[in-house]
Amino acid sequence: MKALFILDWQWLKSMKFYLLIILGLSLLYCFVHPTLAVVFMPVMLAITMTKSVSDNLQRSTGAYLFTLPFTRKQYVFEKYIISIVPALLTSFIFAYALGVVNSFSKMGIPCLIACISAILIASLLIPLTIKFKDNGILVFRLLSIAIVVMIIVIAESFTSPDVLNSALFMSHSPWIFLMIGVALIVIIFISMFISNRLIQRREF
Amino acid sequence: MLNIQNLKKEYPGFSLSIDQFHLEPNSITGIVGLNGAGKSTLFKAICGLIQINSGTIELFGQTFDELSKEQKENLGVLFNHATFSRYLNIAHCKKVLKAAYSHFDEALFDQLCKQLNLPYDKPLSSFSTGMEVRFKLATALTHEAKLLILDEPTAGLDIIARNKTYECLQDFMEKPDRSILISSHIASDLENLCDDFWVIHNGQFILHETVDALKNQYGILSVDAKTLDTLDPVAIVGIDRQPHGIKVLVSDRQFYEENYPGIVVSAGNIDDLLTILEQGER
Repeated sequence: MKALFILDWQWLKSMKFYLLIILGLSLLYCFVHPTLAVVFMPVMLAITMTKSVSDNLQRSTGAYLFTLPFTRKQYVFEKYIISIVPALLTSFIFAYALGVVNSFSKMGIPCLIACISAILIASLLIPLTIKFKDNGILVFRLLSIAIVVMIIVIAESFTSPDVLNSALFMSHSPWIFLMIGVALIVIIFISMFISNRLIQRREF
Repeated sequence: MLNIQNLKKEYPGFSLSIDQFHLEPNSITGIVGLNGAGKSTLFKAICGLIQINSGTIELFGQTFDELSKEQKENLGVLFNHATFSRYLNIAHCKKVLKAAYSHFDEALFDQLCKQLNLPYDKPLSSFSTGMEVRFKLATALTHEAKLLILDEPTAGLDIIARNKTYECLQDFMEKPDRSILISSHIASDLENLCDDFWVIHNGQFILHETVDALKNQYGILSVDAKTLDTLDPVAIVGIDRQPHGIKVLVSDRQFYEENYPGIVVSAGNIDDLLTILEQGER
């Protein structure tokens, strides 16, 4: 599976101009809208990494890739790791950095939204990309971004962040986080199962 | 090394149907057929790139899905249409291959790239057809594979590059327990390299023969309609009626040379064999 990670790293390097723009926008949001800054980069990263699936599944690339010594199951597993883990790490880094400057209590909700969004986006887009390739899911990518932005706007307009913070973080109830965590793991598991079924059927 | 039994793969308007096929160690086997005959479909089925409707394909005694990582490493594949992502260059691909194959021979890869005049720093998208084929050959040959599956490895190559390819493949076969399954449109590829060959037509094998038998026993008779009626059909494999004469493919050239001294008999070759089997009556 190391070869797949290297392949994705090379793919990311080929997207460096695009990634720099995302990073630039994220840094800009740090000053004008810190909440969005915490969410934007991880979400965009998750969306970008799922795009590597459509590149891999091009007829000519896939026909070579799937003769290399790894299984299709390993391929799917690697795609989930590469789409989710960097997005989560980025959200933690942004939340921590902005928490130092602003307040840690204000960064909890955006960080949680970023993590949930990244996981949901990867879980939705990976199977859709395997099924419909790149063109068919462009609308889902745009929709994902729109929904995330909407969640942030609605959360900020109708609910005081302090209320949400108290509800989630100050209640000291581990059950809420446990339930969210379990729900996300179940979603990832179901999505991986579907992706695995779809990739097994794909022909090159 | 490779066993196929009762393989069936159906597409709308085309069906691949292989009853039996075996590839033994230490052999080079060719698959010959016109465009659309089913060569690439067969190769894709062997490599697990398409799902088969029925039958079994065993590589090293296992189906493709059952192959362990180590067993998969024994496979070197070259598909005419398949390659790494085109934004990568050779240096990038080398890193991936090094991580993928535990027996990847970096020095041999460098040597082959140099020998085949391949630039390390240019993206694959800038490669010509010939460069791309040479690069794919280098990737297939440098991880100590035991079985090479080569779909049109010399397509788009000039005569010098083709000769270099032959040399590389002959070097590969110097080690024991290795085999090559190769398809090509260029008859000389197969006549120079292969021990035996299979002719595929409309998704089915219609002939299996050794190259030695083709060269030493098979023959092409050039006859007119009258003479054709007098021929003993015992060793006739195919007849191709053309406006300027009739060509008859026979599996025992000597028999016709001895019994029909007036007939022009030439030695068998894959191009004529394929033309007669494809266009003529069998």
